[in-house]
Amino acid sequence: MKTSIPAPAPRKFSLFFERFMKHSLPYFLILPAVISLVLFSLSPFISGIWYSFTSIGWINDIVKFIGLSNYQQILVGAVGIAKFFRLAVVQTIYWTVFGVAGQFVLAMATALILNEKFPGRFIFRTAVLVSIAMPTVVLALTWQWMYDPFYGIVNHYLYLLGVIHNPNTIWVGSTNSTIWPLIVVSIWRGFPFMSLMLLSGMQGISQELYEAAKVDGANVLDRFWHITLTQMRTTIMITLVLNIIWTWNSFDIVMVVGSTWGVVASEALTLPLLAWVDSFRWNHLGRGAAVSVMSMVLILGLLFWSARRELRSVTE
Amino acid sequence: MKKVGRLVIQYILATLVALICLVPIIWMVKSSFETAQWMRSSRIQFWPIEPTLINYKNVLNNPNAAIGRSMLNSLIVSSLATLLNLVITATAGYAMSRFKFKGKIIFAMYLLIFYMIPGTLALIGMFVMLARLGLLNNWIGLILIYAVGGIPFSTWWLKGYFDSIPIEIEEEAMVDGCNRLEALWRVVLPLAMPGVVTVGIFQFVGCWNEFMLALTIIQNPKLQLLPVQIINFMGYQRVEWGPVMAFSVIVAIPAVILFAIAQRGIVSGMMSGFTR
Repeated sequence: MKTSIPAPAPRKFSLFFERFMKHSLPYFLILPAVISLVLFSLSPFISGIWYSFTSIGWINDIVKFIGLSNYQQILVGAVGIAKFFRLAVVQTIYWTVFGVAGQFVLAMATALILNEKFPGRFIFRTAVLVSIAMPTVVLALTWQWMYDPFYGIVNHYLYLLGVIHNPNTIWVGSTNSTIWPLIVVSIWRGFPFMSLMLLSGMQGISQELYEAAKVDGANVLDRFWHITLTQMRTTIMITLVLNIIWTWNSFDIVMVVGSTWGVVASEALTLPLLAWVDSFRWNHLGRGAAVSVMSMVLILGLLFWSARRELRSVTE
Repeated sequence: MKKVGRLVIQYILATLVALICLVPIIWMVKSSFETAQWMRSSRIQFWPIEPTLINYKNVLNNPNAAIGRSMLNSLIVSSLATLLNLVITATAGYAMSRFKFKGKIIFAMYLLIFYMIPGTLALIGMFVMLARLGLLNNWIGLILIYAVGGIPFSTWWLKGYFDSIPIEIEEEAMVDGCNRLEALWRVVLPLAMPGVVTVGIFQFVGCWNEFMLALTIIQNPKLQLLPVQIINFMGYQRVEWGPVMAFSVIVAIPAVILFAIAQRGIVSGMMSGFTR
């Protein structure tokens, strides 16, 4: 049956082509991503670390290796950059711990509410989504206006409620303002997105667990504690780790609300802002990079330290 | 009866959350319609006392605001960065979804580690690199960085969309004589289009809202993007909050509208993204 034999030559070629494609096609497909990540993410990161060991101050300077001198300036002594650095470490820890804690409480409450099915739920979901869509700068400016000492809404209500005695309290933007009003803004900025992350884990929990617990007589709190939280363990861990890193590294709010045009309040300074100001306002690129590296080492160290039990149980 | 009570409590709590989310936004919108006199009064209410468009007129006509130019700048930079990002990540996401290959885990790990790199540290490296290439004060550098900054998120997200498209559809197309790339282009991509659009919107809004990189890399006010331009505009005068809030509303509107359009996709995409 000669007629049934297909034409051999092109078939063979296409088979070879298929095989070749099968092995190398995925590499072709990820190649643009890999190249651009190496050029614009990995290499700036590595060169940033390298600059922290050099004397570079501004872009045209000669890059000369000076060992740990930048780090010495940051870590040793009690004046200048060393003083700012020490203050910034403390503020950044407050900023992250209280910021993420506040975000988490609000986000969990929001996720629990949005997880229930009731008519008109989408309206409330839209409210959450709208606040996620807002540009951080716009929000930061709105909060700055709300914190206005004379006509701001914050002072107005806090004075009415008797929380503050001075109706013209200055919250942000002065040389002696603190990190706490900024933490409020950060909580507000962070919790809507976090609530969607938590919601995703919540919707993976099977309803049968709740039904069974109800039959066993567990009340709402029991069910929340023993089912919701336990089942969401992994989601909560991932969400917290990511948000801790994002909050630690965040820049916009502290920059816009805290230090409009150069007024850097030493009690409202976080490490990313100090690194940025040192690099781009005081023209110490190398030393700014060293602040950044220290900041990264600190947060990774703190995370590993706080997760040491989990890590040990994984490795053993 | 118990059911009704439960529903009432649910609505009260949901309204509370919505209020927490919306109060600053309402305050911003309200202030943008308020006259300068009423802005400096002790009367506090959540709708304009004497509604006026004067702040908007002020912002649109003020040459220092340059809102039209900076909006065009933002539009160009964000669109190009989004397109570039989608081209890079659609193929990468497809590879992650359909193939097993050596180094896949390393690539995936890097996409996760990416988020742990402090922005300021990478920015210092990038700044010097762009300066040497002569790309400071230039959109090209910014577009590239924006496009790359969205790679991890877009790749994961698109991988999820490709996972949800049954592989049989491609196999059928390949039996019909398409090769793999043609199958991706003609069959899979059209099916994944809603997902691609959602990811694109997310990426676009991310670029539209970005502040730190634009502030650092672009110094020429003529090339400046919207979020930095608001701050520049504030700096020109004693802070008049009315016009600044009007400017803010104008910047926020496109982002909010785009998110509203993609609402369903964003929520469900985020859901499947994090449970994996």
